[in-house]
Amino acid sequence: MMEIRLMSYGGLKDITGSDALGFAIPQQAVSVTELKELLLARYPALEGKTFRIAVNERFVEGEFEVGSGDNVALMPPFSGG
Amino acid sequence: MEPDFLDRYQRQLSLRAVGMGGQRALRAARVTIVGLGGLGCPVVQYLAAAGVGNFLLVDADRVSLSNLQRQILYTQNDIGRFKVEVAKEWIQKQNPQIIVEVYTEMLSAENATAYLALADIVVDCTDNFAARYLINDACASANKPWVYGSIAKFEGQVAVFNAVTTTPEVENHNITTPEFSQHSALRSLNYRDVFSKPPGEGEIQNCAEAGVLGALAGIIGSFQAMEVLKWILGLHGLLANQMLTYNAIDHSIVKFQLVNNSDRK
Repeated sequence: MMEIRLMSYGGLKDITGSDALGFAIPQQAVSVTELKELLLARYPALEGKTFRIAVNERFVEGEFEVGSGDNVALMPPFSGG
Repeated sequence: MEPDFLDRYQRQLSLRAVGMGGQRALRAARVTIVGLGGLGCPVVQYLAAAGVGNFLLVDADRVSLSNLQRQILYTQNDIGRFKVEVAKEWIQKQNPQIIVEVYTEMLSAENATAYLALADIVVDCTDNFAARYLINDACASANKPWVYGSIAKFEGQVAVFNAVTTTPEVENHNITTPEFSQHSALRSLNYRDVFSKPPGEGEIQNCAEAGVLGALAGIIGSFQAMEVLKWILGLHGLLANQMLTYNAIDHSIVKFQLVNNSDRK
């Protein structure tokens, strides 16, 4: 069991319900791919959305490991100008 | 240089980072600005005031009443006129020495390469993904740097893509092989390294749908103008290989590090 800090940007805040919240994960460590699956299970509205995951302010994906206490940001593209 | 330039630019000539050499570089620079809306207004105003000598302005839109809340270059008298025409008049009132070309067409696959090829650096002040990916891809193939900016409600993103940088991905990847560090100048990453393809139609709200306060457009446009000035002046700290996000509610700024698409697993 571990907890990460989940930060949502742009319109994704409306899906997670907050710009920053604690997110509990049953494992001790997960890959970014596994984290994405957990996020989709918790927030089904993320399905099909375009966004990147940043761990500790660095965009990562795939097998990159997310650990306890990491800051995880969900970053969509912005459109307005 | 204009005869009055010592007086006109005194406040920035006295910065060691600018000086006479920097002022000449600004005068010689050719900047293409795509989109003369909420971001484009502060970008063109600050760059013109700083002495950028040549502009290409691309926007097919005309000024409307709902623009005036945030596009502060325009007045009620301008409603119905092409934005690029009004912006050109504003620049030439600011400084008649500045050369301005305007294009009242939407950026398209047909014209993008030609419009962007004329610039030293391109500023994306558009409000849609079609134009942003056109700018990205045309700049990537022409080896042009471009400054990205975009806003969503109370947040903004800013980045400099495809710029030559002497401290490229080395820092991000912790790669210190001698072969790699011998490259003294490499192109920074581009928008497709962040978002490889555009989101679905209607997935991301624009300002018309989501709403925006004009001051945020002013802040993010000013960030973009600063990056253009830094690039022209050759200053350190360019937002290359990173994406800055700004939140106007708590004034938090986060600089996310970008990683090359081809290196991602």
